[in-house]
Amino acid sequence: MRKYSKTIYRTLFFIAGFLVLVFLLQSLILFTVKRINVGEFGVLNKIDRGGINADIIISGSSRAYNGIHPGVIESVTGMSCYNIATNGTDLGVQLPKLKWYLNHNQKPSVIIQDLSQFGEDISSIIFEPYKYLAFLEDDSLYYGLKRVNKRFWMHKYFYPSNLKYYNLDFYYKLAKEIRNSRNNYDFLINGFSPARSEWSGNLDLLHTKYPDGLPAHLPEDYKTYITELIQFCRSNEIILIIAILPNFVEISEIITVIDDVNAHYATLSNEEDVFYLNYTDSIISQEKINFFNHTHLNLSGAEKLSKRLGQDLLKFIP
Amino acid sequence: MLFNSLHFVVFFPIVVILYFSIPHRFRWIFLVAASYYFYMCWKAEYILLILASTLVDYFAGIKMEEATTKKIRRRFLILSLCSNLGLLFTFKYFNFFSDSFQIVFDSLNLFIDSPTFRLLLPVGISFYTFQTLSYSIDVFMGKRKAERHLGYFALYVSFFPQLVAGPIERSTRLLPQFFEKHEFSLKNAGDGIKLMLWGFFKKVVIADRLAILVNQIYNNSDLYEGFPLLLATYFFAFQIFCDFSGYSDIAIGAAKVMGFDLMENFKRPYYAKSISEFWKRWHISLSTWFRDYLYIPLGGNRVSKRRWYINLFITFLVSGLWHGANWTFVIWGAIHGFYLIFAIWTGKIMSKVYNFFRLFQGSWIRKFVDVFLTFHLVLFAWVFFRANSLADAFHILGSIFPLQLGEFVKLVTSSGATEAVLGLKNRELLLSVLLVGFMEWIHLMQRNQRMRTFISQQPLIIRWAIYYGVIIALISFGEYRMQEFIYFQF
Repeated sequence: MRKYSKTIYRTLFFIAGFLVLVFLLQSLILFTVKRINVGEFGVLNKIDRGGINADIIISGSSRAYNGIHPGVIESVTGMSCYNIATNGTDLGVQLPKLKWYLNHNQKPSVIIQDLSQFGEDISSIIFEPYKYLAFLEDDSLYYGLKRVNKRFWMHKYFYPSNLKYYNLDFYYKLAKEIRNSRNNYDFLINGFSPARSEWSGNLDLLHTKYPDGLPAHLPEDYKTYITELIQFCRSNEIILIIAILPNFVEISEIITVIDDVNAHYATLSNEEDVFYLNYTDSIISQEKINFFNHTHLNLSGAEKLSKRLGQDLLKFIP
Repeated sequence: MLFNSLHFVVFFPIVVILYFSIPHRFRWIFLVAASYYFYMCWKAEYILLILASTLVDYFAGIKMEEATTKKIRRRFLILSLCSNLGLLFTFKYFNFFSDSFQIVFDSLNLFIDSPTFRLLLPVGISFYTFQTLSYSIDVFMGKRKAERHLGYFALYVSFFPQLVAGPIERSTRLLPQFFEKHEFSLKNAGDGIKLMLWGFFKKVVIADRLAILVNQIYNNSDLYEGFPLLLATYFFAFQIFCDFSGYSDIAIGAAKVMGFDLMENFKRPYYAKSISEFWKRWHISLSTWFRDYLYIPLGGNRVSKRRWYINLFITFLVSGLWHGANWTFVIWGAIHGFYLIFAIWTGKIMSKVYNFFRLFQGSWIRKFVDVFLTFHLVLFAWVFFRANSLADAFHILGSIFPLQLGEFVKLVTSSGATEAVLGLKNRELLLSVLLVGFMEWIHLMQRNQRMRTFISQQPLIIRWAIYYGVIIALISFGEYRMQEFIYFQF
């Protein structure tokens, strides 16, 4: 053992040096992220600093992120509105994010929760976890994310595990947001991302991806999260509105059975006094001009939907 | 088990620690067990093939040595050749030949059904069969004594760092090293780990990133024309180099950590000034194998000129077939054979042409022209190597020109479209080109001095900064979609 002591010490020093370096890199990145006031990091910073305080909060996945325009809702309802939806998330991440929001901001009157989630369980993979790293001191957020992915503790305590997320895309995004932050240019409108992209939907590709179709159903863990969301809103005296956003009508070839989902929401709506707005069969879903792919609205579609949503909200808001 | 897997990252340090912890006399048992485990992680039952090859060659070697006449020696050599090549033929080539015969039968309107086997190609079969064959031939030729220790011989066949993709080691070089007692050496460990890191870098950061574009374009080649096809071909040239030399570096490095020296497999092959020089720098363990066990026994160049050409052509044709049971590989080998013969044919004319243009031997411009031409000849042949079929290869070659550069520039400057068409975002495309440039810069730096030597001469702080940089780059910029090494399929 003694003859190897030099090797062991050297190895330990090397590892220690590496850990220190990673710690410094992580600290530098988080320090930078926390100073960005535009784009996605900007929204997260505003949540953390309590800088939103809107009357209406929109929560959901990329479909809400691209599909619900707070500006239009504000103009229809006359209430302030902010979109905190995030790409690639499901209710597992959205719920802790809402709790985190409430820890730092005034409670909203209304939460519009996009629940356009079909056919999959709550994902244990947290998409782009680096987004949340700067905010893990908030227990609601951290434990919520840890509940979704048991190994999430590594992101908080074992910095080398974050290195793989600090990749080319991350640095590109960071650099872009630093530049936008300096120029005070925000491509988001109150957290909403207007999609000006051209139509790129490919039904054949979806058929290949889901050869047997995608039967819509609500898995048990999803139901648990919805129940928690309802209780969370009730205990905070917030009006919860469950919204199902439109898909382009062609997708009905892929998403086959949707009755049990609708039935569940209808039951919830009756039993729990939750408002339920289903735009699946709205006129918006009939026209390709409103979408940039089968499941995501473009700016024009988002404006139409938000106007309609705003008008519907007026029926519920006292 | 893949080198670029978490499994190996855990497996390797455990093997090294245990290897140096146990007494020398038991180490071979441990290494054989570790090597078999390494192989069985892929498909456990195929270890029987390695065992069969080991036992046949072990006994054939002893019997050849004990044989009193050449006739008996030859009989055991034939046993070894038949069993190893038989394995290779059954698992790798049977369906290829069967399908080819079927095409011939069909074209002659003969209604004969050629049989086919549904067998999974055993990983590394071409490597370990060639390695054991070299042992049998060496014993037959009297170049070495038969190995009497079955355990050490089994280790020679299955030594895990080079089991599945080489380097194809000669018994005269590797076997004696198993008998030596290796003490742990910080220098060996350091050198080995550095080499492994560089190998990983080439594989996961460069090769696997280039593979995304190459696969996208070569697997849908009929959808592309012009510059994307050319770009994919350039990328493939560097992908296959980084993939295979990366594997070799990891293998050599892993063996080095444990105190074993494996042969160098690549020496900056794209800086070769001729095709013959290319083959002295590319997959050296295989090209020297073919030289020693096929080309020279065929007569080499000590025969008539026509026979010499035939020998060269046969050697490269077989080398092509070794790479894969597909006509694309055979054509690839044939092209290289043709290059060599053509170079011999036109040697005098070419030197006159060079002199006419005042491109004298040794001048930098002559070197540049030679390297440029050789690289592009190799590049042309790679099209056949990578294409999924001969029809695809001819389509690619026929569709590269006109390059339509304007279209390509429009594509990479439009937002979002690059990834959909080329498989890589434009920033990743730029990174890929920069990475290839970086690697070639390292190669240029290594002309006079090995990078490892250069680094070890630097102060500790710079050395460690380089290591940290490489590790962070590996984690942050690596592609971790578990891509197999290309040479696993051979």
